Amino acid sequence: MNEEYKPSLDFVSKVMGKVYDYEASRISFMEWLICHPSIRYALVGTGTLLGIFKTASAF
Amino acid sequence: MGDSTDTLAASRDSIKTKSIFREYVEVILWAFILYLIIRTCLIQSFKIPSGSMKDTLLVGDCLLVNKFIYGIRVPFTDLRLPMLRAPQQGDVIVFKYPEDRSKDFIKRVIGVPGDEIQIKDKQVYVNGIAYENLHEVHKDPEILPETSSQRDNYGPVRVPDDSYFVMGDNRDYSDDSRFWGFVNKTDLEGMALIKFWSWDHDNWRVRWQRIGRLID
Repeated sequence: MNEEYKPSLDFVSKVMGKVYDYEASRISFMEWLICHPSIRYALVGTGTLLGIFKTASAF
Repeated sequence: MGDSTDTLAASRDSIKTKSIFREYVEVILWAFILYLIIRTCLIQSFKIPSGSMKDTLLVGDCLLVNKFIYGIRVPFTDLRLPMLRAPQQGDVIVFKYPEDRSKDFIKRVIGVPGDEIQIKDKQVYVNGIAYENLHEVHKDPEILPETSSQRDNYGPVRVPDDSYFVMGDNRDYSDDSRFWGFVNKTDLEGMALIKFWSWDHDNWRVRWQRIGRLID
C-alpha cells in the first residue's frame, strides 16, 4: 500500500469517537436520563425505601 | 422510498417507546417485590399515635421493627418460620391486638409462658418477686381498688403456653394485658429496634435527640 494513503493507527478510534458523539448529540438529556440504567436502579431503590418507611400505626 | 423510511422510523420509535415503558413497569414491579420481601421478612416501620408507652415512645415517634427475630410469618397464613429467640421479659414487641387483629399494638413483655403475674397497688410481681423496670412511669398517684378496675390490683394469673403478658410503660394510661388478656405467639409481629424519626406535633418541631436511639 502506498504509504501516503495508509490510515493512521488511531483511525478507527477517531471515527468511532465521532460516531459516538454524533449519536449522543441526537438524543436530548431527558431521553438519555430516562434510558440510562442507573436511573432505573435508583428508582427501584427509592421506591423500595419509600415503601419501607411508610409507617403503620402501633398503639 | 421516502415513505418506507418514515415507516421504518415510526416503527423504531414505537419499539423504543414500548421498551422504555416495559422497563419502567419492571422498575415498579421490582420495587414492590423488594418492598414486600423486606417488610415481611426483615424490617417494618411503625409510628406511635398514643401515649401508652411514654416515656420510652412518644406520640410522633417512628420506629423500625425486627420482623425475623420471633420467626418470619408466612404471608396470608398462620404459619411461622422458626424464631431466632423467644420474646423475653423487657422486650418491646409489636403484635396484633387480640380484640381487633386489624390493629397493631406495641407494649413491653412482662410475663412469658409459665410466669405468675400479680399486681398489688401498682407494683408488678412476677413469680412472687417485685418486677422493676427502669422505663415504667406512673402518672396517676391514685390507687384504684380491684373492685373498680384491674389497673392497679390484678391477679394472680399464670401465663399460658405460647402466650405473653404485656404492659405499656405508661402504666396508668395503657390498654394492655390487664384488660384484654394475653398475646398469643401467632399474633407477634416483631421486636422494636430503633427510632428513626420523632415529630413533636404540639410544638411543631423535630425531636432530634430521640432519632437513632435504640429501644430497650
